[in-house]
This record gives sequence, structure tokens and C-alpha cells, in this order.
Amino acid sequence: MAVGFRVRNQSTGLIQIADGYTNLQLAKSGVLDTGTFLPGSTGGSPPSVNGGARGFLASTNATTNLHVIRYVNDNVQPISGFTVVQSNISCYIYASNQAANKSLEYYTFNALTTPASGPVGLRLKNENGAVYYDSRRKSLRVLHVITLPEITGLPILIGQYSVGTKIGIAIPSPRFYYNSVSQDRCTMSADHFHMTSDNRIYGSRSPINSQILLSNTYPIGGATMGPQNATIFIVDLSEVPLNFTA
Amino acid sequence: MADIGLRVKSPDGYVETTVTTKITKTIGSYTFPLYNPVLVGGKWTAPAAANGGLVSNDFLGGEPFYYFTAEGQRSTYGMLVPSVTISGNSISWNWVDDVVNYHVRFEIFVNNPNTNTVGGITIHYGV
Repeated sequence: MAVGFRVRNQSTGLIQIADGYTNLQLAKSGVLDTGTFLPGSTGGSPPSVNGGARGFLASTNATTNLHVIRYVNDNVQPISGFTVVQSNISCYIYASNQAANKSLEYYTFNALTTPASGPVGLRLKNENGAVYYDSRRKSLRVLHVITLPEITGLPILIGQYSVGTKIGIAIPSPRFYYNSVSQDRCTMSADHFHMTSDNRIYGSRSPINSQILLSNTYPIGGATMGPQNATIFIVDLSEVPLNFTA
Repeated sequence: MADIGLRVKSPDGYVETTVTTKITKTIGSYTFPLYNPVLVGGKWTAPAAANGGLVSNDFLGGEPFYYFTAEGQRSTYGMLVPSVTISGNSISWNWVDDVVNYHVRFEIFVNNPNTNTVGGITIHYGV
């Protein structure tokens, strides 16, 4: 194969960009008002389910969507956290409607390639003329992959990242925690995350769903994904536009 | 390393890429088939076939990351994912028994079948 232009990793020498290069690209971005988030609930007498305050973000099934969230509240407390929970139909942001800042920015990247426009920076093509890299695409740039510590309840500092850079958080999938005080009920919690304007990231644990049943369904006690490996990653949003639709 | 060589700027002059810029690359994905849970000692667990992994030398070329998307898992109350480990050029996954047990029982609410409550997701990975 003829080589045109190849980019190699500085430390390992492995090829990072060459023919066949793929990356996620910004598909949509916008702002959600967490003040409008409402609890999901069936209401009424048991069997019943009560959920935490949430807002709809996107449909999920058979997409390649990765949602990056930027939600800054400098007064870190349980109500300032957020998490992203997918089902087989929908993706929801769980966040209190009581935090001081209610503007939650979302940036959805996916594997769909949409034509870029504007002045050309760097564009790389293969032998057939197909473009495999175009600097005009708003591509995903992961700055840090963070292995999560154990999170038990109130917010704890995870770290401070890329100070001075506009960043967001991607949650591959939050860890879930289940707790049953009796066999007819169970509370499901999830990792939540908090951001400050100086890029400190905190983690906490908050309930997202509680069920009360008429049958003895759950083992008393609990189970946790807490000890398992879990990550979030920090994404560079410096040049990623808000209110964008591909 | 001196910051010279290739430099790509956006139309407004922002330096998007230099020779030391970290550039993200997606490597691939794996879609888990839909599985029904298996009752073992009164506990719903994932079938053994749901655990596994794969090898990609591209993991050696940077800081690996992964994320999940939905592919039909019965997951009204939250999509369950396995524990994932990346080491060297290998990625592996394991479904945690106790968590599967609670997830399955949550999804039965109120009178749903427990079918398709394991698998039915895609893991996407890159560096």
C-alpha cells in the first residue's frame, strides 16, 4: 500500500492515524434545564416505583452515541451531582432540580460521519480518494481516563483535571448499587458526578429508583458494582460548539 | 519534545493539533447477544457464555477507554453492564452475579418476563 501520511504515537510508535482511522464525531449538542427535571414514578399504592429527578436526553437502541456532560456547580453537595442512565429505549440524565446552576450542557458524539464544511485545515485521503481524517470534523478528544475510586455516599474528590481547559465528563455506564431492607422492596442507586469551574471532579452515590412490591422478591441485604472496575473519561470541549446539530 | 513540525489550526486560529496533541481513535466494538439469566442456587446469574474478551494490539498505542450502548437488553430501570478490565493488549468482561440477580428482579416489575435481561449491549473501545 502506498503511504501518504501517517501519525504515530509518540511513546509506543504505534500508528494512530492512517488509512482506516476512525473516531467519534459531534452529532448534537445543547442545554437542558435541570429545573424542569421531574421524578419518574408510578404513584399510588404498592406495587409501585419511585424514581429520582431526570430529564430525557436521547433514544438509545442501536446507536453509537457517547454523551459528554458539562454541568458546573461550585457548591458541591448531593444535589449538584448528575449521572447518565441508559435503558433499551431512552437515555436519561438524573440530576436534582434544586441545584444553583440549572444549565446542563450535553455533547453527543457518535460514529456517523457527516460532511465537514468551511476552510480546509488538514484532510487525509486514502488511495481511493476517501477522506479518513478531516480536521474540520468536531471529533472526540479524550484527555484522561479515570479509574473510579470506591464511592459510598456523599461527594468525594476524585481529582482535578486539565485546569484552564473546557472539559466534560463521559460516563461509560455508572455503577449501580442495590439495597433491600426487606424482601418486598429495593432501592437502586448509581454513581453521580460533580464538576466545578476549576475542573475538580467529585463522585457521590444517590438513589435513582425504588420499588415496593407485594411479594417477597429481593434477598435482604444488597449488592454492588462498586468494587468492579469502572471509569469515566474527561473530554476536551475547547472547540466543540454548543447548540450544534449535524 | 519541541513543539514544531505539523500544526493544524482552525479558521479562527485555534491550534487544534500539534505533534504532541493527544489524538483519540476508536478501535472497534463488540455486541453481546441477548441472554436469558440462569437460576443458580436461587440467584439469577449471567450464563457463562456472556463472559469473555478479545485482543487488540491497538490498546498498546495509548490510554484505552470504553463505553456502552443499548442493543435490546430488557433494562427499563437501567442498562446493566459487565465489569471490564483492560490489560496490555487484552480487554475482558465479567458479569457480576449478585448484581445480575438484583437487576433481573428489578426488571420483572410488575409482571414482566425475565428474558433478555443479560447481554443486549455493545461495548465500544478506543485509545
